[in-house]
Order: sequence, then structure tokens, then C-alpha cells
Amino acid sequence: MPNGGTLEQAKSIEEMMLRELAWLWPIGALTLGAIVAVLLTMVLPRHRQGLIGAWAAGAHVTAAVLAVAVWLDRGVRAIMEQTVIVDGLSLTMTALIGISGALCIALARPALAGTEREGEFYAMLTFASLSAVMLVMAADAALLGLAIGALGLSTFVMTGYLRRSTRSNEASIKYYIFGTVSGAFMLYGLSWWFGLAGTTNLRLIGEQLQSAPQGYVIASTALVIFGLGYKAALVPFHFWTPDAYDGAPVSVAAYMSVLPKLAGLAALARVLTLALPEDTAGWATAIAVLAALTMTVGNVAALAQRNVVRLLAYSSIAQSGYLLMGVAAINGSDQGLAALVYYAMAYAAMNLGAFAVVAAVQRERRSVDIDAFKGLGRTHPWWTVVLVLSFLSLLGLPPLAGFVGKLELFKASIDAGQSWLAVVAVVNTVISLYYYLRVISPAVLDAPAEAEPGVPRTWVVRPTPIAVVLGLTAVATVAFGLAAEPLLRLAEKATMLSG
Amino acid sequence: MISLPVVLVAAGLMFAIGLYGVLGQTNTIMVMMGVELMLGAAMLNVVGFLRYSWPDATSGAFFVLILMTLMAVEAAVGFALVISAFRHSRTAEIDDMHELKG
Repeated sequence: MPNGGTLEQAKSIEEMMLRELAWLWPIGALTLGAIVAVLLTMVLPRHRQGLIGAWAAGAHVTAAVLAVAVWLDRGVRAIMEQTVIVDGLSLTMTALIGISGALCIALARPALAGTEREGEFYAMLTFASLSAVMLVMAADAALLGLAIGALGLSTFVMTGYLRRSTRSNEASIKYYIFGTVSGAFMLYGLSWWFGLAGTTNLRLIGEQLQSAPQGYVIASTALVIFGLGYKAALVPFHFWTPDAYDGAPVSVAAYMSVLPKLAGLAALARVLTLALPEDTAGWATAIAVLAALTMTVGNVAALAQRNVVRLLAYSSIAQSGYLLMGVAAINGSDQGLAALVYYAMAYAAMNLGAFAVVAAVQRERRSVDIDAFKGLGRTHPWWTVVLVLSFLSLLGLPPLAGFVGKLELFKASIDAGQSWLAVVAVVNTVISLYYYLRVISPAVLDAPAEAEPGVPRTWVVRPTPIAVVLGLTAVATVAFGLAAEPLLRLAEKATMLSG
Repeated sequence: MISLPVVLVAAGLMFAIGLYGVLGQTNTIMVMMGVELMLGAAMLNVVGFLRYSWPDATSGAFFVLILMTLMAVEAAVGFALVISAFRHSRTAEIDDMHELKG
């Protein structure tokens, strides 16, 4: 009953919506977490603001736990007049967002401790995670636009956190301009979808678009893909990525390379299947071409990088390309979405691990150049173990998580009749060997660069929050690979509700 | 007599002018104004469709309200970022931003 109806009908809908709030517990946890964090920043003195970080991390973990609880206890359902879809995909992504967000807070804490606006940072990060969760649950054009906008705004501010740094300011302004422009493109595309279908509900839009004039459908769809593609850093909408990651604090780069990206990809998968069912406008092929472009450009550009954060930025663009293979295969193969979900989990673990090592190195050696990684194995064996594990997993070496994930994506691609894309991906994996090894080999083989022979080997990893992130991500990278079977079965259950 | 095509063309022109502003201006504030025009075009589009094609689709009205909110918040955050950068480097010109390689 979207429009009109009697007062009784309105009342019964209202009662139903109140009951349906029980499906929104994860969103509630993050909302409460963010608002209370803002209030705490006003009350707590500066040296106690680390507590807000603990509070925000707690809210993230709670959201993840509640997502699991909702799935087990209440099952999946499209709620709020089909505006919000709570299904396997969105709940899995919510749990992933919750845990990754908490790890990013742990990564940020040592670097931010004692800075001016520490508490606001955690609040902003929680708002960003909240918008990411809304993005993966959105089944309505208005909510989709709101979530994309809110996610962008909170990440722009996080990027510019280091107010005294010209680089940080510049990164946030570039990111802001690119983000708002591509958001405007997407909203203009959505306004056309509304015009063609007469509703903002994505599933109903999907029913209408099949009979709408094809030219308009293709043009407006391209605009919508533009907006979501920028969130996921797809080529050719990727130009902001290396600058934003480079200028932002390392923990924010870690955050942006995982949460908005995975949320954007999940939303892309949902929007395309809901609004363009049965491959309307031939989007599967368009997405496959985008995937091939994204992984190739990302990998080739990464070859020349000497700054490891920029290298990881291009690597994350290439990884978006691999993830996009899953989106392209959704229609042609029933394995596409499962492969996407599994690789999203693997990617979160290994990429956060890689960024955690970079954060640790930057903290101690004040540089993120490749030379700063020289001789890391001599001085910090544990960092090096995590570095090697996460980089080899990003490369896709067995038995690590990245290998299983890539294998599943390749299988899905071939199953969907896009064998050429699988070939492109294999060639790309070989290219990526060069730059991943370029960081690993000086770390493992070389002696430390400067005249610091006095630095003893230390098996103790400090500070503690970074040690926790390093440990958890390394264990996850190995465990996801070794125990792939149960995880893949879980990923297969993370399906989309068709409305 | 104003009809749907007139509204759509006007919105399309607004979008194009905004895009020209984004691509052609070098001052961050002017670029932001271009983005506002582009968002305004999206709103005008929805309002036009709401008025002439789908007068019963109330969800479209909410869409416009959400867009308006988004536009206002986006402008606020944008000005905050520009002011923060300006205090530091005394410029709002994009061409002066070349610390990062792009």
C-alpha cells in the first residue's frame, strides 16, 4: 500500500513497522554507538578520549553479533514497506563491517591517542559504518542515495582528520569533489529511474524498466553504476583512490579500502539484480568489461609505486576488479554471489593485515617508502610474518584465503560463460606477483637500510591494539584458507532476497 | 504551457551547466556550486515526473526531501573542508593542490 489507503490500513502498517524494528537491531546498535560517542566527546577530557574508541569498537562488535542473532533468530525479510532488505547478504556484510570497523578503530587508536579531535574521529567512523550497513540493506532509491551520501560525507571528514597536514587537507578535498560529483551523477540517474517507473522501490523499478524505452534505461543505469562504482573504486572512477589513501591517516586508508568498497560492491550486486532483473540492458557484460579494466589498470599502475600506501591503493583497485567478477557472474551462475561474499571476507582479513603492518612500520620508521621495509625480518619478525602472509594471500597463493577466494571467483566466471574474464584475471595475478614480491623481498632478505645495527630483534609487538589487529588478521587469513569448506557453505547461504 | 519535456530539458541543461562548472572551474567553492546545480537537476527531474507523470507516487516526494537534506549537509561539510584547508595553506584553488601525485 505505497500510496493512499484508509486510516485503518495506515494504522495496521504502522503496527507492522514497529514489529519489524526487531530486524534493525544491528543498525540500532551502530546508531546508538555513534550518538553516544558524540555525547561522550563533549564530556570526557582529552586524555580519556581513548574510552570513546573502546565504546565505538564495542558498538561495532555488538552490531556484528546482533546481525548473527537476527539471522539465527528471526530469519530474512524485506521490511519497512520493502525499503530495507534484511537477508543473508546484508547480514553477512553487516557482520563483516562490524568486525572490520572495530579492527580499524584498534589500528587508529595508537596513532590518534592524545590528538585534538580523537573522540570525534571514532564517532565519525561509527557513522560511516552505519551508512555502510544502510547501503548494503537498501532496496529503495531514496535510501540508496541517502546511504551513499552519508557514507561519503563521513569518510571525507575522516580523510581530512590531520588538519595541520597539507596532504591530508588536499586528500580530503579531492575525495570530496570526486565523491559529491559522482554522487550527483548517481542521483540524477536515480531520478530518471523514478521517472521511468513511477516508484522509488528498486524491485518495482525492475518490473517497470523491462518495458521502458531501452535507450533511457541504459543511460540512466550507466549513471547509477558511476555512483556505486566510485564507492568501490572501479576503473574509470578510481582517480581519487591513491591520493585519498596517501593523504589520509593509514588507519583511515585501511578503513576506506575495506568497508565502503565492500559495501559499494554488495549494493551494486543488489541494485543490479533488483532493478535490472534478467540482465536488462545487458549489464552483466558491461560489468565484466569494467572488472577486466579495473584489475588491469590497478595492477599495471601498482608496478611503478614506491610508496607502499599508494601501492596498496592500486592493489585494492585491482582487488575490486576481482570482486567485480563475482557481481558480473551473479546472473549467469549461482556461484557468483557466494564467491563474492567469500572473497569479501578474505579480502577484509588480508587487506587489513597488510595495512596494519604499514601502520606499524610508519609509526616506527616514519616512512612508508619501500626502503622503510628493508630488513624488517631482522628487527620485527612478527610484523614480517603478517606482511608475508597478507601479501601472499592478496597475490592468491595456496593455502591462504586469497587463493580459495580467487579460485571460487574464477570458477563462477567460467560457469557464467565469461571464460575470457577468468583468463584476464589469471594474467593479472601473474602481473601482481611483481609488486607484491617487491615489498616482501627487501623485508625478508635485506639488511636494515640505515646505520641502525644496534636495533635488536624484538619478538614483542607493541602497541597492543596493533598487535591485536596483526594477530587476528593473520589468523583469519590462514584459517579462512585452511577451513574454506564451512565458510564457503556459509557464503552460499548468504543469498539475496528477491523482494 | 509548461509540460514534462520542458522540465526535463531544463533539468538536463542545469545538469550540464553544473558539470561544466565542476570540470571548468579551478576554485573549490565554484566546483561545489557546480555540484549543487547537478543535484538541483536531479531534484527538478523528480519533481517534474511527480507533477506530470506520477502524481500519486508519494515516495518521489520523500526522495526529493532526502536529496535536499543531502545537498545541505554536503555543502556544510564541503565548506568545513575548504575552510580547514584555507586556514592552512591560504588558497582554495584546486590547481595549487599538488602535494599528491594524482
